[in-house]
Amino acid sequence: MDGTQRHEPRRGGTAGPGEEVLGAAESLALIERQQRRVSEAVSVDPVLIYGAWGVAWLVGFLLFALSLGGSGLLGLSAGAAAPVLGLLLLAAMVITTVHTARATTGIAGPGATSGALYGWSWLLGFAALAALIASLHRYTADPQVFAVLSAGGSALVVGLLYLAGGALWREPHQFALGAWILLTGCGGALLGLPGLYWAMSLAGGGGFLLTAAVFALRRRGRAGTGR
Amino acid sequence: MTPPDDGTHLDPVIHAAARLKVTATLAALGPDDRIAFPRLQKLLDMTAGNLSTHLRKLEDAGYVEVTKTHERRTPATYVALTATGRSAFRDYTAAVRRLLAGADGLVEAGTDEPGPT
Repeated sequence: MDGTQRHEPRRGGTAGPGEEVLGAAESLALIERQQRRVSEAVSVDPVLIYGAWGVAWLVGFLLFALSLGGSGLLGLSAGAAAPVLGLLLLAAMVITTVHTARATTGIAGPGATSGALYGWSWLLGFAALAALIASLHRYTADPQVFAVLSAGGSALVVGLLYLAGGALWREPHQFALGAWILLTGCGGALLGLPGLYWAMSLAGGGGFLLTAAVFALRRRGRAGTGR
Repeated sequence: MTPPDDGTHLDPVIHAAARLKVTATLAALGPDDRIAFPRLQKLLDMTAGNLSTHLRKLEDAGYVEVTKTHERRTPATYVALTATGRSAFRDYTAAVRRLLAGADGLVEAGTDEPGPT
């Protein structure tokens, strides 16, 4: 284009805003800084998402387990534990939805399509589970049946969707978490109540938090070597 | 557009601070992903007019594809790096790294003289 500018790389910048030319080191630094900023802005933060669900499961199901245990440890009834679990799950859902929407807004393409369809899978999965649970009201009024089906059924939906997500994004940690949730949530149903709640709280919630910790450590490791 | 290449030629289309930032941003997205103009602007901290100017230059070089669509009757502009743009950016980054590795500051970025090999 214009030869004079190319021989005086650091002093270009007469041709308009942004036309100034950087030295090689500055160029590379700009590329790295900007690309890090972009990938942080447009990707969903696994630490936040798994952390939120981990806290919700750990605390919510723990209260349920304690309320059924008859230990009277907190003098908690199942009636009081249910709304707390509901609120915690709702909070985790809001955090997930708002954060994902914010990160992915304005991005279109095959990756965005996968993400949107995957998001709808969650809604469909839980709607189907709710219909299934509602259908049983015709045959039984036993609260234990609904308790096991709600908790174990949720674990089934969550576990399968994490397997799918792990396969979709080639993310082995997510896949492993899905397998773990299936094992502890659906396998835990074999323990009956309150064993299932203990399994979902300590093993399930703990699995979420452990996965969040793995991603947090990985990010810190990358930031340490990134400069 | 392709001069005799010693591996350290820096593509003048990309080698301007603003366009380098734009290209690096688009290259950080998924290979076939597009980004809406306002979101791109936010990630770059650039004014709409300034961004448009640089996008036009990148588009003229065939590095960027700008598509105008409608989303629920509101016009929306999406920007994506083309395959040519992606490989130009890869070449640019490789050339910069080569300059830094080989020249140790003797050959400044953008110089067309052959490197001291």
